[in-house]
Amino acid sequence: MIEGIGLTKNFISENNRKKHTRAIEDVDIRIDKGETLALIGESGCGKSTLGRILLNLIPPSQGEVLFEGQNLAKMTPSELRAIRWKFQIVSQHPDSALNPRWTVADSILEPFRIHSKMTGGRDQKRELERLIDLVGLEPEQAARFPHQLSGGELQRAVIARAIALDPAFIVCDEPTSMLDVSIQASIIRLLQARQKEIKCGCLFITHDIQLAKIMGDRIAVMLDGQIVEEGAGILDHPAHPFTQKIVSPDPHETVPELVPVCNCSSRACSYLPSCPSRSPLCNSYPKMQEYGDRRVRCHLLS
Amino acid sequence: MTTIIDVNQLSVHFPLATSTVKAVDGVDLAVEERETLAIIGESGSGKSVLGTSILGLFPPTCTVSGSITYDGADLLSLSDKELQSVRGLKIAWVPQNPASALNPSMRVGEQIGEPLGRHTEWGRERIHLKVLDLLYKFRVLPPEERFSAYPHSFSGGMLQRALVAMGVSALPEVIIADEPTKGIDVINKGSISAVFRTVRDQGITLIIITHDLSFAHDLADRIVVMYNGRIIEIAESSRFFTRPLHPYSAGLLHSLPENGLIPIPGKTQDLDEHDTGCKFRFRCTDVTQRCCNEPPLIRHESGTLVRCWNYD
Repeated sequence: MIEGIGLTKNFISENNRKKHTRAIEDVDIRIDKGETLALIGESGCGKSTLGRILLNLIPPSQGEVLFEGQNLAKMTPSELRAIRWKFQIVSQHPDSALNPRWTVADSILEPFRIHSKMTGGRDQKRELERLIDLVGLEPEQAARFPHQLSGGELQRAVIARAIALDPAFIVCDEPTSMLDVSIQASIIRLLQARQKEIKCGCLFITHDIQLAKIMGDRIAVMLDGQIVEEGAGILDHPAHPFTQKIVSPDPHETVPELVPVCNCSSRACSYLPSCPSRSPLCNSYPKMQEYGDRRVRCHLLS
Repeated sequence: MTTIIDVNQLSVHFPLATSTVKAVDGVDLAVEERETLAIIGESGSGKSVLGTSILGLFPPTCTVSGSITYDGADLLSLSDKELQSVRGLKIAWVPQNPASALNPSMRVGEQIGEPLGRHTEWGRERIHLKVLDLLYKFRVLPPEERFSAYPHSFSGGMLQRALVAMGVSALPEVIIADEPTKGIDVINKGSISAVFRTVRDQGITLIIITHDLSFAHDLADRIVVMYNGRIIEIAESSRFFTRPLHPYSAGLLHSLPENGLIPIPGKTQDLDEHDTGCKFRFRCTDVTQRCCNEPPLIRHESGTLVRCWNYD
C-alpha cells in the first residue's frame, strides 16, 4: 500500500551550507494494507524522519514514496490534497499536537472542515460523539482546552483526530513514550482496537522492544539512518549484532551510546565501532540482503 | 541498618478556591542508610512533591505539616540559611527533564562544578580537575571537550549523566533523582542504570522517583508505591516484582508490555477531599464493604507494608 524506495534524506545546516547531516540513507520500506510495521532504534537514528518522509511532510533527498502505486513527489498540490486524508500521524508529544487556542472538539473536527468537499454531508455533531466515544473521552472533556487535560486524555484526542476520516495509513511516532505505564497500556489497546476496525496500515515508531513485539506484524531495526534488520520474528531470533545487543543488553556495560558518524562519503558499516564480531570486511558498506524470513544488512551472514 | 531520613506524617496540601488538593497526605517513610529506594506511582500521585519536600523546596501556595528528620534536625523547621548547608552538600537533587534543568547559556563543566564552588574552599583549578574526573567517570566523553560545551550540544542520555555528575560532585550522603529515565531510549537506559550503580557503590543513599518499573527493578532495594498522595505499599524489590500485594501494584505490573499490557480499569479520580474510603476502591476489582473506610498500612507476614483490607 505504501512503499519507500531508496529513501535518503540529507539535512543541510542553515549556518554552514557545506555541512550535511545524513538523517536516513538508502531505506527501502513497505507497509501493506492493515499491517503494522514496528520501527525500533535509538533516539537520533532517523526513525521520525522516515515517518515524516512517508507522510510527505518533508521531501526525501533521493528515492521515492509510492502510495497505492502513485508517486507522491510527482503529484500536483491539488491531487495531493485530495488524498491527504488517507494518511495521518499520532505524535510523541500530545501537548503540542493540538492547537492550544481551540477546544479539543474543534481539533478533533478539523479534518471534516479541511476535507469538507468529501465529508460535506456528514453531521459534525454526530461525528464528534462517535469519535469521542471510540477513544473513551467524556463529552465534557471535548469542550475543554488542551491545557485542561492530562497527557493520556490529550493522546486520546489526538487519536480521535487521526482516525476521524478512516485513514489508510497512520504513523504513530512514539505515542506513549511520555505517558505512565498504566496509561500506556490503555492507549496501546485503544490503538490496536481502532486499527483493527478501520483496517489501516501503521508505522509504529518506538524504542520499547516489548511494545514493538506486541504491536508489530513485522519489525524493522534502525541504526544510524539505515534499516539493519527487518522481518517478523527478528526480536526472538536476532541475526544482526546490533539487534542482538538491544534484545539482551549487557546490564553491566558502562560504555555510552554510539556517536553517530555523519560524513557523507562512502563509509564502513555503521555498527563497526561497537560490533563485537567485526572483521576486515566490515570496512566496506554492507548491502541489505534477504535471508529466508528477513532482510539483514551485515557481512557476517553472507 | 540505621535510618538516615525519617519522614513522619508529612502532608503537603494545596488550598484552592473551593477545595484542597492533597498532593501528599499523611506519609510515613523511613529511608535506611545506603539503601536504594524507588518511589513509583503515576503522574499526579505525589511522588515528586514528596521528593522536593525532603529538600525543603515547597511551592509558595501550599500548607505543610508533619516532620522530616535528617541528622537529628527537622528539615521542615530549619531556616533557609540552615537548609542551604544541607541542599546540594548533604542531600542532592537530580531534577527531572535534563534539557531544561541546566542553564543553556553556561558551559556544562562550570555548572557541574557549581556545588563544589559553593560548598567547599577549593580553588578554580582543583574544581576543574575534579569535574573532568567526574565527567570521565560518568562517561561524558571526551571530558575536556564536554567541559566547555553548552547543554544544547548534548544528547538526552549524556545530559542526564552530566546531571548525575553534578549531583554527586560535592559527595552528598543522599541523592534524590526525579524521573531520571524519562524520554531516554531503552538502548541508552543501560548507561543511566550503570551511572546510578556507580553512585550506589560509593555508599550514597539513593531515592529514585520514577514510573519506569524496569529501571526500579534494576536498581532498587525497596519499592514504595504511591497512589493519590498516599503510600499504599512498601516492599522489598525482589518480592514486589514477583508478588505485589496491593491490587494497584499488581495492576501496574500487569500493564507492562511484557506482562500482557492489561490496563488498570478506570482512571485516577479527583476525590472529594473529605472522602474517607480507600482511594483505589473505584478501580479495584476486589472491593468489599470495608473499603469505604481507608485501611491503615498493614504489615503482611512477608514484611511488606500494604494499605489494603485484603491483608488484614
